[in-house]
Amino acid sequence: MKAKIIFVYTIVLIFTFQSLQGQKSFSIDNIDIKSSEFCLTGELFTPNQSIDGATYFNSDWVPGDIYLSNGEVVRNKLIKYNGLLDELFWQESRSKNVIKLDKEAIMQFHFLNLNGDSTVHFRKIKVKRSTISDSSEIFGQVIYEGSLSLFILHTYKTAGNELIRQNGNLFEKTNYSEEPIYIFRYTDNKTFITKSLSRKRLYAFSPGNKNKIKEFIKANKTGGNKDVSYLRRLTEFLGQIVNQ
Amino acid sequence: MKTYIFPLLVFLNCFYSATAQNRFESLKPEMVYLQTDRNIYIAGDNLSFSLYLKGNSKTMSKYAYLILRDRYNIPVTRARIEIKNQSSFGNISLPDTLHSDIYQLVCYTNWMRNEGEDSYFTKEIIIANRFDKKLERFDSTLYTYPSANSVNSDSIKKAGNENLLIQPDKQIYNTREKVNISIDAKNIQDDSIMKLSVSVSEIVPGSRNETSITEYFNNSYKAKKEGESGQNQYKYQPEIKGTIIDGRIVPVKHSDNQPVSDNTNNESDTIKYTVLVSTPDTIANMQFTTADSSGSFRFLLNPYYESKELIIRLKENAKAVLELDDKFKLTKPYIPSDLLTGPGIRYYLIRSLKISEVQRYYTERTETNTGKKTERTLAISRVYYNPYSRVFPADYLPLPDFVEISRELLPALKVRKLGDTYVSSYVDTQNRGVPSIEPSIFLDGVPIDDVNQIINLGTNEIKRIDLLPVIRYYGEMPLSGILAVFSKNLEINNIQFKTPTIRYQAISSQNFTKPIPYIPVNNNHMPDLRQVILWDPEIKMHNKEKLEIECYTSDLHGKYRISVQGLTSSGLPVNGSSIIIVKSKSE
Repeated sequence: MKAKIIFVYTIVLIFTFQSLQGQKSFSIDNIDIKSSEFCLTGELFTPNQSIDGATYFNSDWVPGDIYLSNGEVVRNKLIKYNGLLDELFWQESRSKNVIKLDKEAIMQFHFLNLNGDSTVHFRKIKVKRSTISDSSEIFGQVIYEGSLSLFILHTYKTAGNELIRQNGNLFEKTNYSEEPIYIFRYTDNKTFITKSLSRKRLYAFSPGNKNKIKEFIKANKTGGNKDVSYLRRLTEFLGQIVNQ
Repeated sequence: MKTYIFPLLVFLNCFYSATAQNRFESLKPEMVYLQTDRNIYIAGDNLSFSLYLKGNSKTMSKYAYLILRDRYNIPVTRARIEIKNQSSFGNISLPDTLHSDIYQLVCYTNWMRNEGEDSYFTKEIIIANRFDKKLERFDSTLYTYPSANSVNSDSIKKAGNENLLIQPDKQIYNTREKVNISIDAKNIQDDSIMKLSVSVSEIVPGSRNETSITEYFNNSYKAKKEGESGQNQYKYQPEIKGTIIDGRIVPVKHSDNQPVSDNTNNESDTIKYTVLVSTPDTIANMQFTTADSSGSFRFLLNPYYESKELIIRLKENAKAVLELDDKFKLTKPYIPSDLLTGPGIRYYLIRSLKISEVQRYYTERTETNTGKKTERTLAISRVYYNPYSRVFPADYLPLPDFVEISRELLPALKVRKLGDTYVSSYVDTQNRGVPSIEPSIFLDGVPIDDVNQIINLGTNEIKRIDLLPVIRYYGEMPLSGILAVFSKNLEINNIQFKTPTIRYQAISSQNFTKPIPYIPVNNNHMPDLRQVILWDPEIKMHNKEKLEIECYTSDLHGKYRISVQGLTSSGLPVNGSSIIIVKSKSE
């Protein structure tokens, strides 16, 4: 019994002593790095109408790194992207307020772990959607980067209105459905924009390579499910046939 | 049970000792070594130096501080040197008004300040004023300049612990002859890359041999200090990522604004103050940190602020003053040694003065190569990007003050008079929940206290007004709207802040500079009176490699020392030396 007590005391003593030593030595890391970190800038998000939760790319707050246009990185902040508004939101840790970040300040943002995927990232790209509109800067999800790159703009279209009752009041709610826009971009910034990746649209992408595209589609039957890995393979393939 | 206790205890002890060792490894003190191109200068010369830093590669300081001070402890020159991969080089321009005397070079890092001034690198140099013909400070019994063959043995003996083999192609050279020097590192058991600096300079008679980098870094006193470091308080942080600014909020007495030495029982014990840093600019900018309960604050300065005039102030009001840590402050007085007062030095100085005079006549001043510049990230800490509205008052009729401007040109902003003061607030026209409290006001990019400080500015003084009538966040700092006013004539310089404020000139690092290598010109009738025939602080060498370097002798005959100092990338100091003699063809 005595031996056990001595044993326990000795272990506690060693731990205590070493912890104290550690406290002293760890003071090197004690500098307030936060003070040197670049600050995210934005405004408090107070929408007049509630935003449809379905228009968020990620419904829950997810930690992410934000790459600023000045070259700095702000790491591990809770962020959410809304495709309808094309805005990135940050949940400020102290007040839990939702801040709509200044778009001009952001170059790209990475979700650290979005449903187990650590590769999801968005970049601000300049897009001219139609011949009559000016080009604008929009956050596009980066799917593949190479001689031909693929970005997806997570845009939404109105899917109808419905009357709902909230707090005893009736109001009209607009429903949205996602309408992704695929942007293929060459290294010289020439782009091919399409809302669909159907066989017809892919032929339009490279009319001279219809047979090759046909073979690719045959070999990669997706059954309508165009997941990220398929999109990457497709972009890589299109890049290869165009460069040949 | 008893059988297992002892081995388990031994194991635990060994495990934790190893852990503790690792922890202390990260706190290893640093040591700085400075090599200069020579030891004697004429006021107005350039002093070229190379610097080597030894410490833990993971927590190596990015900056060193160099001070040249006189015997009265008055700093003559102060410089911050940027260290890249454990080394640096540059030059100091010596003011030509310096009086003839012995001066001390002091070099250290912020991390070394924890060890006290005894751990700083110090070196004595002599500077002679070109108008001081008598040089009485260096009066000695020996008035004759020793001949090239009779320089005293102290000056020419080899430094200890030499591990580089330095071999010139011959021992005796004519004037204006090419010197080939080979550097052999076969004795070094370290395969990493070596960074070397080479000096070939005239030996100063009467001066003692200076400590080599190997001797200095292996110095037993330093090693002892290294072992003791764990016991010290780490007041100063290593500047690994950038400039660290330390400061504290010192409470003042109500009557005379004198700092109170004992800061117990004061406001700063209970309130955590926010310290704001910004600089006058055309963009509203800010960096902030929070002081701890004792009033101390520390921040890693954004590189954008380097070399700029900073306005550092408290966000909250307090009866206190701000005190910033002066990294160049030396408390230990300098007592000149007799190291450089040996016989022959005075004569050498007189000769150097004459050489300097001739060089000035022929305008042969050594130029420095400033091609390699410090890389700096200039990411500005912007408070906002695009304003909701921007007004250029010059586009409108002249208005006498800001009250009129707000009334006529800024409908979103309301400025009212309450008693003797004015208050401002945004009108919540868009129902954005803007509080009716004063927005954060910036003048020339700097946050100010309130609208009263800009109330007298009319359209003739204001260049631009940016308005953001919404609740904004700058990092975790909420701002109840932003009003940014940019004046034509930097009115921020005339503002009296209501909260404790200090103006501070942020320093920047020196550029990496070295002299332009001497290239001989055929049929050159100009005298070549270089006393340093080679200074190259930027030689890279792979181990087991034999490196050949070359230089040219000048018209000055005498003994020259080839001194090579350096450091391997794994931190092993290396050095070597050799002597050559230069004789004129007639000798």
